[in-house]
Amino acid sequence: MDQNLSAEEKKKNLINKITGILLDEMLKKKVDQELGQEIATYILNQSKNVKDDKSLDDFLRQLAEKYSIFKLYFVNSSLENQIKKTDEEKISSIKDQLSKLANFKSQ
Amino acid sequence: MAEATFNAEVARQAVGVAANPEAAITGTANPILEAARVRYSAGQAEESLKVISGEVVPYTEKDVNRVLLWNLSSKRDSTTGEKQDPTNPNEDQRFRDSKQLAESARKFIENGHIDATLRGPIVTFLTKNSPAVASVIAEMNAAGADVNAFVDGLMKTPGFRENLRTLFIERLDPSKRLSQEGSVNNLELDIAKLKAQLGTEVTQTQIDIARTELDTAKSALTPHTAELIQLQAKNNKFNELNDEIKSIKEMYNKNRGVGVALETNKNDLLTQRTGLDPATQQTQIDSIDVQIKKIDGTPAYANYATAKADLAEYSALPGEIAALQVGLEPIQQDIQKKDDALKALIEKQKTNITPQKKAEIEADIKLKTGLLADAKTTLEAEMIKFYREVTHMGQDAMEKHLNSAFTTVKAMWKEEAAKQAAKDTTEEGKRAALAVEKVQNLWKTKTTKGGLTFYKPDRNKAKTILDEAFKAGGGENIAVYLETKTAAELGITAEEHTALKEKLKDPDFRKAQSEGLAKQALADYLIAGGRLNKDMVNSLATTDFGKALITEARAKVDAAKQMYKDQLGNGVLDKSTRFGEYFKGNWWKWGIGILALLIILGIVSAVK
Repeated sequence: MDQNLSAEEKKKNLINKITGILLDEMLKKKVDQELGQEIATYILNQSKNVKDDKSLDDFLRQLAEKYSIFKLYFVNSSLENQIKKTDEEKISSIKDQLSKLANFKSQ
Repeated sequence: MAEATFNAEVARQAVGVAANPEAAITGTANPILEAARVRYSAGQAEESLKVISGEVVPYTEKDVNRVLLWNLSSKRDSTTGEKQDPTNPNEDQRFRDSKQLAESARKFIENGHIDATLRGPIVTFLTKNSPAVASVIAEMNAAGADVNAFVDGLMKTPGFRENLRTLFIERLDPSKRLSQEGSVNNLELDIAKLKAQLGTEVTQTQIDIARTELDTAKSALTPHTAELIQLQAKNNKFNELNDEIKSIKEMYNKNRGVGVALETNKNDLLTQRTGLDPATQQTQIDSIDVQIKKIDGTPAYANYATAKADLAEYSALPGEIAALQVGLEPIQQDIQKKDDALKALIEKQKTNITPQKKAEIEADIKLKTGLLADAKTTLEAEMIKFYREVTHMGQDAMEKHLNSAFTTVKAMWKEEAAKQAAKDTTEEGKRAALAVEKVQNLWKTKTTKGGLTFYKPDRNKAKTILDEAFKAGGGENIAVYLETKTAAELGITAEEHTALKEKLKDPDFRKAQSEGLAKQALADYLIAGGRLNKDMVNSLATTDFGKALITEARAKVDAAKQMYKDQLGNGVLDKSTRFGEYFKGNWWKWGIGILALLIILGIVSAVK
């Protein structure tokens, strides 16, 4: 998830993704209308509590725990975030080293 | 897996469709899913969720207005063929009523707002057509209670909104079209084509008229006969000169030299002659005449003079002809036009249809006119049916709601009794349980259709069993009834009867099954259209069986109130509302009826 986005934008993006998953599953008839109705109501109600990154993660995790159709997305999304975080840490570390090197040469 | 091969990009690919499901979403026939898909594709994910969750109806106001217009108006734009607001007063009334009801239904489904447009027909339906509720409402009216608040409460019980939403989606489906409209249009087109075929036939009368018109046009020329003759002569002369113009010009040029000199001489001589006095100078005049005669007799001069005169006439004739034509041309053009028309008619008459063919077409028109009238009637009926479907959404949803509630409570009571009966797993126990099951056919009418046997509840027969339960002793009377009637009278085998009588010695079985049968009879009585009238309410309130049922029901209603408090919203069951008042001071006036309604509305089913 892009760290530069605001919490509201992240929430909007997440809702867009999970609505897409729900619609897709309903169109494939893997989720019937009754369950779809229940899931949509759950998303609408619970997403109201999302205020920051933590509550956004909690919301997605609880959604995936309750409804298996979101499990894959939850796992991949967590994985992607983790990888991004690691990449950023590596880049930050390299930047630090380059900075130190530059300072060393100029001395 | 090597670390180098697993990076953010790979992870993104692994997420794949799960992260980008919109790529896989295409069209669907389900109206709810289709509406949700459209909103999602437009970037309105939350709106899409609202459609799926049932929070909003899937059709926009524009969709609804369009389907109402398509199905309730016969007026079309003459150029585009698009449907327009109806001008026929009946259609206009139906259109406005339907639009109003659809708007009210939407408000209720989406915001829970109840208005008079939606409530009114439901109150009428409950009062006139719902045996279970009509008497309760009548007694409420007599006691001066607020029936509207009661009906609002019914509308807010779980299930009604969903029923209404389902009907809204089914009946206002934007793709809905009147099936007869195509037939009407096709028949109108057929008739127009047939009439056009008859319209091309040329009659003798038409030819006679055209001929008379031509004669009249020609007669307009009579006053201009002299000009006509002149025109004819001038035309002839012009044509004649035109034919010879080349040789005339040659002759003129050839003799011009001599001709002009002699002409000058002649003119001089004539001038001299004019100045002479015949009385005194006759000799000179005669001399001049001889000279002129000589000039005239000269061939070169004669040819020159003739050619010159022809050329002058040739130049003057077009102007003279044009001057004559100014007055004659309009008359001649009119004659030409009338002549052409007559000739065209005569030509067309040659292709006229035969009398036999004409008779066939006329018969076809007559037949199709009859079919058109029938199709229009059917179309009107279809429009009225659609109108009825839209304006009756509220009462139909309420009827479905009540029927569903009766069935729910019946199933619930049946399950209670069946659980108790299933405790005894011996052969005798199973036989007794089967006997109880079969005894329930006592208040049902047996019918056979297509080799299959059906049992339909009969409210009068069910009332007979209920009456036993309402006697002093309550459910025990049913137990005695089962013991004292013969196996044949109960519709069971002798063996089953023996097993049943044996099991009735068990107090738990005796109580649960006899009361269970009474409850089944009560549910079937209501399903079969039995009235929840004053007598029935009194029986429920004053008999052992009724009191027990109500005590049990009240406990469940209290639990249900707690459970549904949030779902019902707006404090429908709270004591602060008018609906809540029914549970307080006036309880004994109409409370039992309402309590019974709450039972049958299945509110208790969730806490059974």
